[in-house]
Amino acid sequence: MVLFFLLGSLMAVAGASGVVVARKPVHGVIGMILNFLGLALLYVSLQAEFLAVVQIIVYAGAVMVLFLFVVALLTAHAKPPAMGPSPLRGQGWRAGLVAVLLLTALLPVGVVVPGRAEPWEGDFGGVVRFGQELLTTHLLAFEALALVLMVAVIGVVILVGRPPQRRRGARGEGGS
Amino acid sequence: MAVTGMNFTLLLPELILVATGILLVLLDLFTEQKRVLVYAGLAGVLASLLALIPGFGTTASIWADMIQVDSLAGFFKIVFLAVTALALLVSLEYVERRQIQAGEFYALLIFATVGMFLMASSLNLLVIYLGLELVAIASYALVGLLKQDGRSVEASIKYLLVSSATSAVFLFGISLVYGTTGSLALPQIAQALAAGAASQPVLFAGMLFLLAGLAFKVAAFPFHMWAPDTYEGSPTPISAFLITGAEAAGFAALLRVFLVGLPGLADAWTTIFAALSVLTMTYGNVTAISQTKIKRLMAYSAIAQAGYVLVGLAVATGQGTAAMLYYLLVYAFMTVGAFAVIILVANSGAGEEISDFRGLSQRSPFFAWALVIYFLSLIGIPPTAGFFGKLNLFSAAIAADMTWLAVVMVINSVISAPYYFKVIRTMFLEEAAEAEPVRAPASLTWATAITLVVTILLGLVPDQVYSWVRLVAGAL
Repeated sequence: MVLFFLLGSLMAVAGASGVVVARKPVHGVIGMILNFLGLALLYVSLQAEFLAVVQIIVYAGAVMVLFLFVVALLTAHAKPPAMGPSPLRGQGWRAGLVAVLLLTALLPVGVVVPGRAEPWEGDFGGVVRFGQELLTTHLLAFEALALVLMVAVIGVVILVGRPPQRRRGARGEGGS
Repeated sequence: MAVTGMNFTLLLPELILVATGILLVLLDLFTEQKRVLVYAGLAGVLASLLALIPGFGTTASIWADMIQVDSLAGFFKIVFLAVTALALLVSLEYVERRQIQAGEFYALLIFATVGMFLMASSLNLLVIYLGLELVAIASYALVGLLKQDGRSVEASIKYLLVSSATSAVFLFGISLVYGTTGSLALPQIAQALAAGAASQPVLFAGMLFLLAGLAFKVAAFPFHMWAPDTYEGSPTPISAFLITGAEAAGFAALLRVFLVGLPGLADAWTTIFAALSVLTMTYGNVTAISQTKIKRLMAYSAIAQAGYVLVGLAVATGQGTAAMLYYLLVYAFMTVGAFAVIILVANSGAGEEISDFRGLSQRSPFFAWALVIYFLSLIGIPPTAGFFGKLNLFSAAIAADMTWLAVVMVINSVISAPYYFKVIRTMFLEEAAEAEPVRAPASLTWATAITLVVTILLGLVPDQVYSWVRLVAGAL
């Protein structure tokens, strides 16, 4: 299990850094797939098998295909931006200092505190239990999440879409 | 297996708002008269306000303990609905002039209000987070709606980047707290703390992450850097909405998380909040002095005011909470009012520089005097509502043996006076470039009149409102 955890977290962190570092959108998408697979491994190590499968099918599968479509349609011919982000003066060592401080604060915590050793019993992480939790205890949160997604869709449409009366050839600048 | 406590009556205010939002998007397709949308939105807000009545005075935990209906939630919902109604009113003219897509604009405003409702009326970290995210996602779009204006797009992207990073911080905090206490429900977390989980360093780290995540949302000092740019670039009604509504929602979540969930760590977080409070108010006020743009001035003033409100969390008493609530109520009205005047000046063709307010006293005496009263209230000069707001915070700090904090507050109020007076001086003592009177649309006049009456009324009869607020704070 520790091995699973190490492998999964390494994959997730590597994938996430890949997304940040990549200059080409396609590379970013590949980094993200790695990240999703790493997360799926972590879910398996936490005995959430159903969640792991869903993570792979829905995210690494369906959502990533969508991402690839968007990347292919919008940026296939676009060159990566010539200018990278301009770092602030002293940004590097300050961020490094904070990160080191945070890690030294958190690392002993992770080592000292014993984790949960014994595995969960019963159908924890199975489809039945998962579905029951989702549609009973967490029903309201589930519905609220649906609302959050709908609002996100409205927001994207309004930011990227053009008002009908001013249809021009140029692409909207809100393509995020 | 059924959901325990499936109570639709007590959830009705939220449901009505969601329905109103969806209705606005649909209605937009069928009407060219965009004013209808504002009236429909106002009707929805009013209906939601009426729907609060059945839940008044009751305390209930519904929907499998995901939603908490109590007087604190009721108080904040009234504040949010008032802010939303006023934001709808001041948007009316603005949206027409700037050719913003009206249906989505008003709908997102309503949806953001639903998010604030969730933040204020849940004792479950998961739902609080979802509410926070609902407010944030609706705000990203609202802030960036002036697509031709580079500043608006910049504001939106900055807000998106900073806010999603801080959401991650908040989530990390939730996961650490969940990991140590085994629950997302704040009362259970408090029980685990009382049972001895408090000594665990993981929980302490989790508390710090939760604190940092929420401090970003209320723009407290080291976490404020997104605020001035976002508030300056976004459409002015949205600046008003975010500064008052979203900030109040952030404070509601802070109150719930720290007073209900983590009282066992109070020794640590009161010290942190006291430090944040001093830094925030001093930074906000000192930086505001040198601003030449009115919206940036209001943004830094908002940071300073957040510092005052944090005093209530630093003292962590019932009196402190009551003072916070009172101040948030007062602050919502006086700030939206001030923004109504800013919108009026911007609509009249002048820009958003402080110098554009020259001679407003001749061009539109009513609005000029209204702005004077809002500013006097923001400084905290009697007999305005802001004075009693500050007085309550002040006495709460003294009662909790934190006189030094009260002294810092007074010093800060003095520092804040010059920049407000600079605007007043510009309005009254400098001649306008053009002397013709400003045409004021009815919607702005109404918004200004309502906020003005409330600001003065809360200053003249503060006791009744304050005793109600005491009751609300006692129920936390």
